[in-house]
Formats: sequence, C-alpha cells, structure tokens
Amino acid sequence: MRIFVQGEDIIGIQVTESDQPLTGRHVVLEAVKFGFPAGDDLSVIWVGLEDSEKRLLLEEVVSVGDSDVRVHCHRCREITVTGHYNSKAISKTLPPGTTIGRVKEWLTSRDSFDIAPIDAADLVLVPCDDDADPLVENGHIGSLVHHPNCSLCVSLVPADRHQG
Amino acid sequence: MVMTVDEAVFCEHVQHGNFLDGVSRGKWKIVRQEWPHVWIEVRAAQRDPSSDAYVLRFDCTNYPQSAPTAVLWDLGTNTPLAHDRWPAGTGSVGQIFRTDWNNGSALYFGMDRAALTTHQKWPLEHPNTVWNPGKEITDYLDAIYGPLNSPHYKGTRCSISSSR
Repeated sequence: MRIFVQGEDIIGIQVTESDQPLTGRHVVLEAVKFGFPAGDDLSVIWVGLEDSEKRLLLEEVVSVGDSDVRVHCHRCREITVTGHYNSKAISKTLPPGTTIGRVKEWLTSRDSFDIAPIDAADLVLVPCDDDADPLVENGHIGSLVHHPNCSLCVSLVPADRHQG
Repeated sequence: MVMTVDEAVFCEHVQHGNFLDGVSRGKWKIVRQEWPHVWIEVRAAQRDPSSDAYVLRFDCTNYPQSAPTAVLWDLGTNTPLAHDRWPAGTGSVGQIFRTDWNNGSALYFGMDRAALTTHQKWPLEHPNTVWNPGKEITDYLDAIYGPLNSPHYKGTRCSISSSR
C-alpha cells in the first residue's frame, strides 16, 4: 500500500510504501522522516486519517491490504479555523487532517456563508494576510499550522481570471 | 540514450507526492510519454452522455523553465480533439477551453506557454496563478481539474448542442 503523509512541518504531500499492516506508531515514524517534529513523547501526537475526526492510538492498526491510505500527524489535537468572507467571519475547531476542500464545503454551506455551488466554484481559499498561492483542496489544514499556535485564518476570495 | 535535463526534472516531479496523490485519487494519469510530449488524461465530472475524462497532449520543452503547453487530444485518431468534443460550460470552463483563440491549439490560461507568450502582463497581474519555474506539472493539472469537476462544466460541446 502507498501511504500519503501530511503533517506539521511536512512539505506538501509525501509518499511512502509499506507491505505490512500500518499502525499509528508507524505513521508517526514515517512522518518524522519527512520532517515532523515528534519530540520524545509520541503518545501526545495526533495521528489520524484524512478528514476523519477520530484520533488513532499508536498501537491501533490504521490500514491493511493494498489500498492507498492518507494520514496526518500533528502536535495540535485540534485546530481553530476562522474563515472570512465579505467582511464576516466564522470559526470552528477541526482535526488537523481536515482537507482544505472540506473547509471550503463548511464555509460555503447553508449554515455558514450560504454560497450557491455555482458561485462557490469561483472562490478559492487563501491564508489571511498572506499573498500566497490559493490553497490546494487536497492539502490538510495541519500542514499550515505550527504548534503551539493551533489556529488558522483563511479567506474566501474570487479565483484569478486570466483575461485580455 | 541520455535523458535531457527537462525530461529528468519532469520525471522527478511526477514522482512527487502531490502528483502521485492525484493519480491515486483518479484525478489524472499519464497515458503516454514521448519526450517532449506527454499525454495525460484528466478526469471530468460525470455529465451523461459526455466523456468523463479528457486527454491532453503536453509539450514540455524546456520544462520547468518554460511553461508546458497543452492541446486536447484524440487518442483514437492521434490528432487534436475535434472542437465539438471539447469541454463546454460557463465561468472558468468557458474561459480555459476556448476554441476561438489560437484555433484551439492551446488552453487559454496563465499556466500554458502559448497563452503566456501572448499575454505578457499576466505574470504581473496574477503572480500566484501563472506558471513560473517553481511550478510543477501538478499545478497545471490542478488548475484544470477543478473547473472540469465544478458546476461550471456542462459536458462536451456536441452533447450540449444536441440536448437543446
């Protein structure tokens, strides 16, 4: 199976392979190879599957078999995400392995900024106060956050239109 | 035969986690490579009876210093895809997949070399979303996968015309 790893201080999406059943401990050790600052006490680390709220235990089996798996490691147990749109802001705590795509779904939903899907398609998420590239929808919010600052600010803005 | 530098860099980039993650999710896949040309299939949202994927033939000469340029391709006839089988839709889909620009020989947006050549203000106007040597083929693919899987994508041109 291929393991796609994202996490704190890990650049982009890293990939590794395993032919053994995967445990939470294995995920952490793989993440360390890609730059995750685990520290000495692995038991305090949040390990989980992409877009899952469940925190995995170190000895818990994450996956068996050949299917690819997507995981996240972070020293923050949860991340407070604040989303801005049209001078309004809302906040929610989410697991570190939550994808940007899932955050966008939440922000555009009826209970949040209530943006129609056709209009949401023209919006992208960018970090607040940062002239950075639009955030990629498969990216995890934890990759943008460094412990102990377990918070993230994003804005919904119009996507670039290359015209003329 | 010694691999050229541009091909070597391309081959490295398609081993990066971001590219492989897209392959794993079924978003895209390389179907043929005869340098400097690479044929990549990109999945589109299901819009019966339209195809749910399009093949692009990329010219990656001088990659990544120069942006790649791509044309929609018909693998069956090994020729550019007929315009009536191009993606159709509103917003970003209508903009990127223009058949009325450059005779439909390239995509109309800032990741494509042909469009950048004739729009020299785009790097200044849209610094985060046009090609630069720090980008990878995954960035180009992400920029077209999104629109093809958004509410803006309506199907192929001929399927839309016949349904009216």
